[in-house]
Amino acid sequence: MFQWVSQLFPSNGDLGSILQLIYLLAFFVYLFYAQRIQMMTMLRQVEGALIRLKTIRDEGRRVALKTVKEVGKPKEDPAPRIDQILEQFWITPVDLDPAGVIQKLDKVMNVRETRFEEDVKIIAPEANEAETHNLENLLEAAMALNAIYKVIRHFYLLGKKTMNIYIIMQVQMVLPMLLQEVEAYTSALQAFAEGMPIGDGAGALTAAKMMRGHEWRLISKDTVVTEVPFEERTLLVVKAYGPGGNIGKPGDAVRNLIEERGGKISKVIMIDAAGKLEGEELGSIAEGVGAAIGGIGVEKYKIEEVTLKYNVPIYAIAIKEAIRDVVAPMKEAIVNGAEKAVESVTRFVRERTEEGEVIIVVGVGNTVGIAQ
Amino acid sequence: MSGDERPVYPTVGISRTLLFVLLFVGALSLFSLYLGFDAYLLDRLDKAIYYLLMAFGGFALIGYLFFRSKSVLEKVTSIPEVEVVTTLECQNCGLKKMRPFQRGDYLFKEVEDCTRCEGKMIIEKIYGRERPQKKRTRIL
Repeated sequence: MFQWVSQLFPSNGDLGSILQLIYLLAFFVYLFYAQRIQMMTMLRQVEGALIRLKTIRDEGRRVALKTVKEVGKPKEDPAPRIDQILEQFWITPVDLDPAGVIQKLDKVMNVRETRFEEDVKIIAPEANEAETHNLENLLEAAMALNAIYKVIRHFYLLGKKTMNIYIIMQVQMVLPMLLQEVEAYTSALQAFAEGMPIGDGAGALTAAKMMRGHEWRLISKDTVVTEVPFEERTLLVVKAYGPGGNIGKPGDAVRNLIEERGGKISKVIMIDAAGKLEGEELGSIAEGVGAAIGGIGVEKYKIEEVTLKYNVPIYAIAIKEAIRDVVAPMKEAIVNGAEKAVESVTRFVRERTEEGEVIIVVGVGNTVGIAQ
Repeated sequence: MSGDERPVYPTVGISRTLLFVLLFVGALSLFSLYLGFDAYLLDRLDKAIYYLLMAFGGFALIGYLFFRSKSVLEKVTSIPEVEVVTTLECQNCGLKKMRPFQRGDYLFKEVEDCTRCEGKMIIEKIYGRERPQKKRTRIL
């Protein structure tokens, strides 16, 4: 075999000499430039991802602009204002002295929320309440895409300028997860522009199914509660006010409900969408304990504080979904997951509570496309 | 733009490096083709085969690189859209209807009169349809 191959390239022939020279050249090139070649390959990968990010970022801006024009019917061109919104930022409070940092964070978040609402009302004066909330969510998705694109571009250009393999390597390593997140935001654009329910709304959908047909009232900002009688018990079902894109203030809602009833609440059950691991089934249910709520932690803190004060146990029901499903239009498996979560809550109440008890059921998540 | 006056965005399309490689391999392949035919005409069949193999190998590589970079470009610049459907159900007779999602649809909204009875059709489900995938045996 080797003899036959060596006959193909005789070392004394012209072709053999050329090939030998090429091999030698390749050897020396690789000896001195291996790391540079590796770096250029990585830069190329980051560049490909950056092109994808730019396409998606531009799409985000385009969809936001189109939807604002269609829904809000502004008198002036909203493009400069939208560009200004896309560049908005918020500064976290100082945490060197952590006492009271949650309250400060809550204040900053409230100011940001109000400012954002005002901005949207200025650029889309004709939008109704639900459409305004959807536009806020749409602009937030576009803002996230813009921020991710700019950070990756920064590291790409910095890596290219300094030719430092470690700068390029750290970007290249997080790219797969980052691109998954970005793809999810792409689907979010479609969902928020049209007002479709999203994967994150699984908890809100579960609550909506339970409160259907009953009277509701506002319990905190953008949050509603319904009193549902169930087998001689009372369920206080909480969700964000829909069908506009809202997450409400579930922390304030739980605190208000517990204080309204003087702490006479037997249990708090929280239902939320939770990240699934690869290999786990989409829309499957898992039960646990603790406050099932994401975000930066302000609402979670409020719930933990008030339940600790009145000694109320918190139980959690998670509806499993991948990161790409969280802000994408809700898939059928998640809709079925919400059905299973309702069954899970009713079984839990039947098995673990006594007649006459009052239980708070909180459906956490964005309620876009889900009424009550 | 500060300092570096080149555009800060990476460009979409075949890169200069790839174009250079394609041109270089193309020139080599053409040269090998010429040498192959030359050797064949001089009755050096063994050499002719090597040169012609090199030439066709080069052309195949150019084709692969060119079409691959085009398909990557399409993948990079496409924006996927999910097909979302709305399921309506009559509260009176239970008639079910499915239609594509329309802006303004939301869960539990009364949308239209039932076509079979006097009842009202209510939106019961809204969900994104997944594209059917080829069935594979799952080991894990």
